[in-house]
Amino acid sequence: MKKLLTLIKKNFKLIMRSKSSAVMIILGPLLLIILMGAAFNTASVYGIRVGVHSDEYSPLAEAIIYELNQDDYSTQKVDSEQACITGVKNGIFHVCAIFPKNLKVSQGGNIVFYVDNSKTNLIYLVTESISTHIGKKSQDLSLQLTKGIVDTLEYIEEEITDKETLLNQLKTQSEEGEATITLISNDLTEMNLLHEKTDIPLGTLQSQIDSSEDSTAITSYNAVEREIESMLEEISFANSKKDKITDRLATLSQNTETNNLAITQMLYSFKTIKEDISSVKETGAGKIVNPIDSEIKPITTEKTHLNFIFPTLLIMIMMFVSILLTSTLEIREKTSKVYFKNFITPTSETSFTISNYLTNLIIISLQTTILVGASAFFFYKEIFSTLHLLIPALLIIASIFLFIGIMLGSIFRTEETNTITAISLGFIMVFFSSAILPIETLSPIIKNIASFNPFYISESLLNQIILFQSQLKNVSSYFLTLSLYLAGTIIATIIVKKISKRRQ
Amino acid sequence: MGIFELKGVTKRFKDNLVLDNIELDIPEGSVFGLLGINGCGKTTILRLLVGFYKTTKGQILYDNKKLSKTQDKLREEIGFTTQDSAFYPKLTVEENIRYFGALYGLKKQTIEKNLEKILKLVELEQVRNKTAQYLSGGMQRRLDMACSLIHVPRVLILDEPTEDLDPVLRKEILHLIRKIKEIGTTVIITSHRLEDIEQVCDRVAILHNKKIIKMGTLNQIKKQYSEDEEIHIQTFPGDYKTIIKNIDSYDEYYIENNKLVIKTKKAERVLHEILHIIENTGEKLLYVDVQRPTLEEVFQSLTKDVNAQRGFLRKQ
Repeated sequence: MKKLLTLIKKNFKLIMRSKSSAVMIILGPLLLIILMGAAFNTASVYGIRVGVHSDEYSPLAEAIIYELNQDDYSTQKVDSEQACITGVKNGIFHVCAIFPKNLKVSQGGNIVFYVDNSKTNLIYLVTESISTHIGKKSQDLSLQLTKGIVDTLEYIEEEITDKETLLNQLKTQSEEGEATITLISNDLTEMNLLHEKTDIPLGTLQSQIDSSEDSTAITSYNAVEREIESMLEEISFANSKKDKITDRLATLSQNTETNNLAITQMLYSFKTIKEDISSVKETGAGKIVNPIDSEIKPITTEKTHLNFIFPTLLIMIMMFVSILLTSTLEIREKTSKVYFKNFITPTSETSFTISNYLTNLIIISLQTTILVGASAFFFYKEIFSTLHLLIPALLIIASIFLFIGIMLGSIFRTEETNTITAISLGFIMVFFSSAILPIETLSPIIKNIASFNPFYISESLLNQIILFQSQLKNVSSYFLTLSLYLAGTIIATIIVKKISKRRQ
Repeated sequence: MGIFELKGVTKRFKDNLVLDNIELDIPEGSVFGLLGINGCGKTTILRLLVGFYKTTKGQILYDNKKLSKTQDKLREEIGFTTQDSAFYPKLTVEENIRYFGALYGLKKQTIEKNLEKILKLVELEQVRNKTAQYLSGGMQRRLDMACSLIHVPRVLILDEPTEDLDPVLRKEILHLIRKIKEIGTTVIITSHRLEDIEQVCDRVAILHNKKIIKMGTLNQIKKQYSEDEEIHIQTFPGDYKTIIKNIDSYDEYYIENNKLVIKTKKAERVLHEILHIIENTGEKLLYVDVQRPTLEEVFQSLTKDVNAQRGFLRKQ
């Protein structure tokens, strides 16, 4: 233990007495976080140059271009489609937008974008942003059109309401008419106009008049008889008319009833139409244009790019510093003039390896503390609540990369080869993770292999802990995998050390 | 029985045979010199002695025990100073010595006690707090030795200790070696500077063509060549070919710095002949001296390749 402390003390003295090393250890991470903070502490995309071309710029096209200019895009009209595409190829523009001739809402038409796919991440951001802007413009236009339709419907509703009153009056009057017809029919039915001459008891009178032989009376009686006969004829005529009137009234009543039914149906239709119009009005033009609201919300409360890249940044720093620092120290020790002198002392090589590991672990811890502290101070206050998981996670991750560094330092004999290998290895791990492109973009076989990449696993673990404040039960599988990795790297380091010793 | 014994030791790096069947016995308490030209395998022997390299064949005994079984003891009892100054340049003199003291497992009090003695021995008391990289070449070499002496080793191995040093610094180091010898430490030195070895060593082994070609005390080795004496003569105008043609009893000769050097077992007779020839030929005698061989000359005689390079001509 005393020897170990002596070795660690010696390592620190050597590092701290090399001013550049000391400055880099302490100021390096601070500088990095300040630079990253200044660069990525935003949620926007800046300075995007968009080349635009149309054979004839319609007001709509101009409006879209204006919209883009309003939001930090720099648009430039280009004479031809080919020149616009060439501009993207030559890096003059990030995107080239070709508007169809005389673009109008009524005519439709596609706006074609040409992008440089080699700038993959940028293109995702730019196309998404431009699509959002154009979508917004289209939505505005649709809104205006729909608003016109809704206004027309409103007018129709008012008209219907107005005419509905009249229709109700008509219905009332019709119903009253129908009732009157019924009354008239009833009255007519009650009228008895079926009278015969025999129904009049004229026989006795005639006998008496005849017996009196009063000619005047007979003459009068005859006149009355004729009058009666005439009246009976008229009554009979009236009766036949009554029957006809009754029939016509029945037809009228039936028609009125049909009309009433029609009016009722019309009123019902009016009511339904009014309700429909009313519901359309209540929905609003905005809802009609965009009936399903979609909003993409982050699953964390943070908003800037820095928040999201912070776990990856942390792992990258840890990985490169750990691998490079440990392997370099290992090689320097191995190639230093003192190595042989150290070797012949009664201090085991394991002590030197452990001291190298502990020295660098302290340095990495110091740097990580600075990074985490700075992040907590500037933008990640809630990181403190994750420390119970973050500290063991960082410890395991750092240890894995430190032992990889020790292994590289044991394998190689020159600093140059070691540095190239360490950087290459680091980049391989970064490329086959989700740091640059999502791992899901890789082919299935490579993806399966890459999912065992310690950088990827570490990145996923830190994302869970820092961004989502996950609990231990949710990240225990990551801890287990990384612990196995750590055990593996320790065993591999021991084997490599033994082999490299045998080579001497 | 020596503190180190090498029995039939062969070392091969892949196909490259570096040492072939080395037999060596290093007595305790002596200053043992291992002589050989650059690249002949002296450092390899030293590294085999401390177990840094494994032997391809043969065995090494330390204190009459196999090296593999006494590695821990050996490491506690040995100090090693390499050709390069092996210490941390960014640490001070004291920090370097203390560091190695801790690696040798010494207690803090022991380190402090030994530190003062060692600093005095290597005469670095005045610069004890100076950063090692700012020391002079001689001081750096002495610091290296101090780091190897902090645990008062039983054996101190010095690999080319005077290499790359100017004559004054070399003298300092040789003086220090003699002082170390006085404290009873066995010292093993390698060098190709024969005059240095001659000044400090009791016993010498000469390594040549992967083998130990001679081993013994300085006197023993020299004695084998004591019958040979060298006549150094300078004449004017210097017709040395005529002189050589007219003398019989010489073994070898060479001409160096306008002087004729003749190696012979009968120096008196040859000198007489030379003087007679000079008188007859009218040469003017400028300088004459008769010398016994130095270790360097013995070494040259033994390592024939070197002799050829230097222009020795054998009598036909």
